[in-house]
Amino acid sequence: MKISRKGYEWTGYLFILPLLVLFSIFLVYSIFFIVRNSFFDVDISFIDFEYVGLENYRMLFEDARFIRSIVNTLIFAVVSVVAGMTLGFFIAIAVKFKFRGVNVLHSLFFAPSLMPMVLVATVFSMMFEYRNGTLNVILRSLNLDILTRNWLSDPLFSYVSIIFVLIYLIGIPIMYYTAGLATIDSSFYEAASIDGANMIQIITKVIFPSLATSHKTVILTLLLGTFRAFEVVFMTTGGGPVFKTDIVGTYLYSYSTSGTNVGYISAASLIVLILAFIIAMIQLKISSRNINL
Amino acid sequence: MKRIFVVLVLMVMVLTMISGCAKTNGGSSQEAIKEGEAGSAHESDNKADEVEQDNDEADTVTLKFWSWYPSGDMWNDMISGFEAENPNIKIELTHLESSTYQEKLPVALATGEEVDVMAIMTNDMVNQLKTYIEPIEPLADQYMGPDWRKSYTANDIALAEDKGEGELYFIPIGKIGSPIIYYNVDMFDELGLEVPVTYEDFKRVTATIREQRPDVMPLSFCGKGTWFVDEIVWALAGQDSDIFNQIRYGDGAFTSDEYKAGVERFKQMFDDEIFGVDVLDLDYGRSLELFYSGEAAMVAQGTWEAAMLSESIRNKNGIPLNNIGAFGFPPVNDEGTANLRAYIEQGLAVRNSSEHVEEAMKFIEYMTVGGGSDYLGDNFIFTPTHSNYKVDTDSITSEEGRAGFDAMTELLNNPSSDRNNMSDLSTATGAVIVGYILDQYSSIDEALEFIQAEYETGKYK
Amino acid sequence: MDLFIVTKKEKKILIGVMIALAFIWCLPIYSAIRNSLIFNGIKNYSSVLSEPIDGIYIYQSFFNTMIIAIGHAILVVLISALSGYAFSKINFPMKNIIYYTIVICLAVPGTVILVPMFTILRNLGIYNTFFAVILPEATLTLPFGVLMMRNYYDSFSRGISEAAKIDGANTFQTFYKVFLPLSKPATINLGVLCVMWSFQDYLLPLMFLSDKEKMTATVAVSSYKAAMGYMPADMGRYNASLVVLAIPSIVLFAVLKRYIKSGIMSGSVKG
Repeated sequence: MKISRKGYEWTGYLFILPLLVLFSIFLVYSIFFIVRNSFFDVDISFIDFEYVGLENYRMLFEDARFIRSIVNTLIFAVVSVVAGMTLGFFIAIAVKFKFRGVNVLHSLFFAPSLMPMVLVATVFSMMFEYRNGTLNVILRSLNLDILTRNWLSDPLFSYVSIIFVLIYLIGIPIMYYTAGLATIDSSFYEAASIDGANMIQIITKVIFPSLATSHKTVILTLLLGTFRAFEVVFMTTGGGPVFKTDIVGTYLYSYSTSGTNVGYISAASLIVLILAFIIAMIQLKISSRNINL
Repeated sequence: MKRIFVVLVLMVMVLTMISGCAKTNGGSSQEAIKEGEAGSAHESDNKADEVEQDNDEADTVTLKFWSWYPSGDMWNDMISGFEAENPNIKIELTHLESSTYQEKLPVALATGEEVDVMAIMTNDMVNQLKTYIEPIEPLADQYMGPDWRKSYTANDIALAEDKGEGELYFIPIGKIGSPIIYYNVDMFDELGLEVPVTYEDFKRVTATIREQRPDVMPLSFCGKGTWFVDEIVWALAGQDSDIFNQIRYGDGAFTSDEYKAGVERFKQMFDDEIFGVDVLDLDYGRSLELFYSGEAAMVAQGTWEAAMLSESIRNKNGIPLNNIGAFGFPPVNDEGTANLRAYIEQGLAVRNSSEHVEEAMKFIEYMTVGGGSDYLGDNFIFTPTHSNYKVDTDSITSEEGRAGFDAMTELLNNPSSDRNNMSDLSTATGAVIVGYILDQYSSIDEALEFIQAEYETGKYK
Repeated sequence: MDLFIVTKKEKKILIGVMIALAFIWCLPIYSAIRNSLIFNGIKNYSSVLSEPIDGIYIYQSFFNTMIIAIGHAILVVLISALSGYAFSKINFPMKNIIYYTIVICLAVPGTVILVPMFTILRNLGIYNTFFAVILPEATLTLPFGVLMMRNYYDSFSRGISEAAKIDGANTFQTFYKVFLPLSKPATINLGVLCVMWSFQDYLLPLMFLSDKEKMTATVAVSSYKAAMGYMPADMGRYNASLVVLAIPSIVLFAVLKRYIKSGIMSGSVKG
């Protein structure tokens, strides 16, 4: 139904008033705050303001640790996406088969994503400890000492450990794929099996391409999700060793806590925010084709 | 897309205006409230004076006090001691974990939360909070007598004055230093080991432990918190220089030979298998727990953990070890000496808007020269600034424990440098050194130049 | 019913892979339980459940989380239903621009706004109250809520509101009497999701609540460690507390799985 431009109902604003109030106070003001303070040298007590122009941004872009934290965020995001689209996709299909205990397995894979991330990450950090961590203890008891590693402090394996935790939190893609599978008519697969295709062929050549919408949702959800995966890194490697596994969240947090350099942290926050907005805009652009923007 | 941006910008602008107005309003109303409070409090004070003649109990003053260290339980002990001596004063404690404290105290003060006495960290906190703190010298003259300075170690007060750029804003409670090595005496005896004096001794001790007790880590420390790596390196560099002071207060550099020597000595200790890379994923708690449970023969920590030398405290806290001793890092070179860095820790300051200055000073006096100070000293939390304090060594029952305590006190009184850390920088420096240990830098010079460059950015304060 | 027809051998392989994966997925659970039994075995649990840790009982932290979760849920559901309805069924100037501006804020990561939130909360004078967590949490969740509720209202034709109007109802009455009851399933989903997110949230309660008595369950995860000290026996108790802290989320998941799933699904941006 089309309504002419004259059909405006100003009462609409009354409906969105609470939303606008909360947003203006907390989000819009926050953005204003970081934009303004990014040009100042100021600490958390906000007593001495000194205008420093773009100095904070210069420091930021010269900071290899900051650049790496952004790159790491993107790498971890890509890894999550790949894991979601392969392993998550596979598990979503497998739980559609009938065998004993399938429901338990489904819950086992899905539940960790609903747990507090800080709890999951803490459990992992205990498990990955070199001396008494469960993982190395098991490896040693199997006489596989050669496989024991400094899971949290080796430059390479700390990366692997974080990726492991991210993969462990695979529930969300599983859920999107399970829902996507439910929308497809089963006769579609039957035709394929009658044609003599085997299981792998059906999964990769028939089902995978048919879930385009689910793929899109998975990709974009996980991309943004990694920007919020602060706890995973913070509670396991803490960004170490040598800041190798820093993500933007841990980088920002490490400077936020001392409160001595609010200007610098504001500049960093703004860059991260712009990046996140860019990803979100791409998401909107892709997923809503007919929006007139 | 463009329009979204325009709307965002518009919203920001509108908000700037709104918040601008709100701020001025808020500011003036807050002041108004403050005045109002002061006025009414004054009135009630006068009333209280009148009532005092009839009834003492009506005059109870509640002081709001904030601190982060030591534990809340210990503070409650000290506070009950104080309240017993001063029945008219009640202390309301807000106790927070240290990083939270660092963040929340400034916020609380800025929000106008009532705080009468606050513990000040001896990093840059005093400069951050200057505007909320009453200079303490005139208060001390008034309430503690003109000779008050004689009660304190002169050097400690001088350090506190330096912190406030010449003005004394707080009285430090005590002094701590780092690092020191605590060892399991029974295990040493069992393996026929002596406290190492030279580096060669040290190597022999760790090699013996490694050989005889492969399940035991010779020396544990919290390598995951890279700040402690930084602490150790400073002590190693400090074996023949005061390079920390040169860098912190002068024009010394991380690329200097003195600092480089510290890093190289640290690396050498890994190469000589005094440490293993398995310390690098231990956090503070785990490194100590390994030692307490007998899975590590030694642990490097600060003097703030010295309470473990006392048998009664060990029993009270359930530390299952029978006997613990201590020593400083043995010098790697023959010319060097064992050392640590020490610094005043935790100053007490009075909020300038406090209406109970006299009571606040009483509390500070109790905490720095009275029962509170003794309590902290006797529990080995700090070495008190109180110049007449004598440690009650009776609680250290073993010979090794006493020798360890003496060695520690000796080191604390002759530190190589101030332990005046910039905490973000410590973490960053330690991380780079760990990187060097793990071969992440092509050379030591590359790592040191990186640290120096970081230091020069001005990010760290 | 299987999803599609496979040979017996293929199905065996599939089940085999699933079981192998399940083993890996059980590893952290095994690790947590193993660690929680060190030194004093099951006594670790009774101690954690019956004694206060760092001055507060573990139940209190659950209770605190619950208060925040409920406040968060009510606020988000109310505001999202109102504005989702407006964005879907009411025609007002700049509607789409405002809507997409809000939705794009889905991307704001919590760490970015920590420092400004401090200033805002202290200016509002609500720092260290439950509102200091509820309001920022709601702000971060609202873009999702609005999106979800709008999608839901979009599935009803405008004809319903036209009919209501002919019956003499004004815009608010149409919403309150007709659409709000219709959207009950969506509001339940959204409310459940908000509760779950509050149970997951760590940073905001960590930063904005300083009273120990107000500590939430997630903050307890990290603060118990320091509070319990570093004695070997405390390590067991600490690990037991981690397992106990997981229980509410597990219960929540078991009871409300259905709502959580359909909630997350309906909030995805539709093509």
